[in-house]
Amino acid sequence: MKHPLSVFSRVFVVNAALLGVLAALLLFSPVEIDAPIRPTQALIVVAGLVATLAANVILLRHALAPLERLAQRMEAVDLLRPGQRLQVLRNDEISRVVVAFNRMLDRLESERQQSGRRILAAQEAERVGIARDLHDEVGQVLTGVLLHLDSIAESAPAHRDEIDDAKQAVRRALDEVRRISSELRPEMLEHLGLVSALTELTTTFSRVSGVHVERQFDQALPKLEPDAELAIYRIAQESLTNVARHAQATRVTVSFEQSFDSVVLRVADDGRGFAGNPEEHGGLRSMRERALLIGAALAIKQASPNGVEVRLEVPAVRVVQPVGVL
Amino acid sequence: MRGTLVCGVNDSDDGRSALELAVALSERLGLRLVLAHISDDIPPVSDGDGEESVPAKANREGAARLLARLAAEYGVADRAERRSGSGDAAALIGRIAAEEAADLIVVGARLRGRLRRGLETRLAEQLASETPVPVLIAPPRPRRPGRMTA
Repeated sequence: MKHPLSVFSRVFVVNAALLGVLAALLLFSPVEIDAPIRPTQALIVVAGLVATLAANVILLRHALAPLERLAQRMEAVDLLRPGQRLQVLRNDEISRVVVAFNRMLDRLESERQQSGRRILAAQEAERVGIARDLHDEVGQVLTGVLLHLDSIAESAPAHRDEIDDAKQAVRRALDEVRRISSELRPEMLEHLGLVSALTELTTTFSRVSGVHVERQFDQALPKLEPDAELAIYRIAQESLTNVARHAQATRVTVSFEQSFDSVVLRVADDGRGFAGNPEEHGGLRSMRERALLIGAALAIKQASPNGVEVRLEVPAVRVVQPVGVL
Repeated sequence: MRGTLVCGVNDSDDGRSALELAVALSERLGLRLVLAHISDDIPPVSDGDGEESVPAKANREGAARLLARLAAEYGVADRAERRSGSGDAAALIGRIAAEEAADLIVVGARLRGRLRRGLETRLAEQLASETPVPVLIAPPRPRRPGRMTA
């Protein structure tokens, strides 16, 4: 329903009408006001005042209700959850404020998406650089140390045991460098695809953390755009990191399946669940940012009966069309 | 499964009407079903040292028991997912719908009363400003056996 009158006009018209009625009663009705005033006369005056006030309360509450809703929306708006818009039901000045607010949210969400993409792209570039430096610089140095220890072992057989211990320590360090480099730059994602990368990720996670992993990956999955695949990988990675750090879990299930017009990643553990506000845990906000950028829905919730489930649903619009399909 | 349906449930008549409709729709259309229970009271989330406060934990566990009982009663204990929260119902259901990639939200509605006709649809109206997901209002159950509602 649209009111062509402004809020000011409506309040003014109603008040003018009420005061006009009161004035007409005083001028033309047989009602007289004595001094001192009689109880019945006082009752009539008070009744008129109450009616005026009641009409103002009802009208102002109705007219200003959109302002109250707008204030509540402004306090509670969450840019990580796009689509929260107030309805515009009227055509007055308050509705114009609501329209302006909705447009401002459109601009903010768009700018946040663009800046989010730039930030994540910069983060990924930095990770690639660090991974390359780790592999090329630190890895090379450790490999050189191994070779040097081999030559020392030949010339100092009496210290072979200590040298072997040192070589084992260097090999462990080299394995750690390769693992960290792989986490920073998942080459398997580039070369063998998302399912292979998730398989390697879960295998490494299970070996390092001791948590048993149950994998459920669909064999035939649609191919996704590279930024969607990277976001899914990073969200799975962050989820497993949180399991290792916080969950005290013995088992985690990782599934990646097609669901009609989307693909769904689930990471569910049997740990202790949330303690306090889950949104305060580190990394969850970055997961939501990544999901938002690829238009995916991310739910982080209590699993049944215990533990936490992370569910990411990526819509089919992110699917890459195979060659030859029109 | 083809899509997701989020249903706002509670133990009242209108909440059960919504659940009944949601179960029927999810079975008929092959939709994934998510049951959402929102309580009005907002206990403090943590007690200062990062741990969940006792009232918040009691609230959460009570909601979990209610959802489990309702899911079992309507035969969907094995397939319906469950979410709960405390606070503004429209805001939280809207958030759950976004997180679960809902295609449809089902909520209940009470009859306005003997003097006023129609349904109390405030929650559905508030949801319109919280989420672009379509909202379906489940018709209330008849007040008396055999009486049809408009």
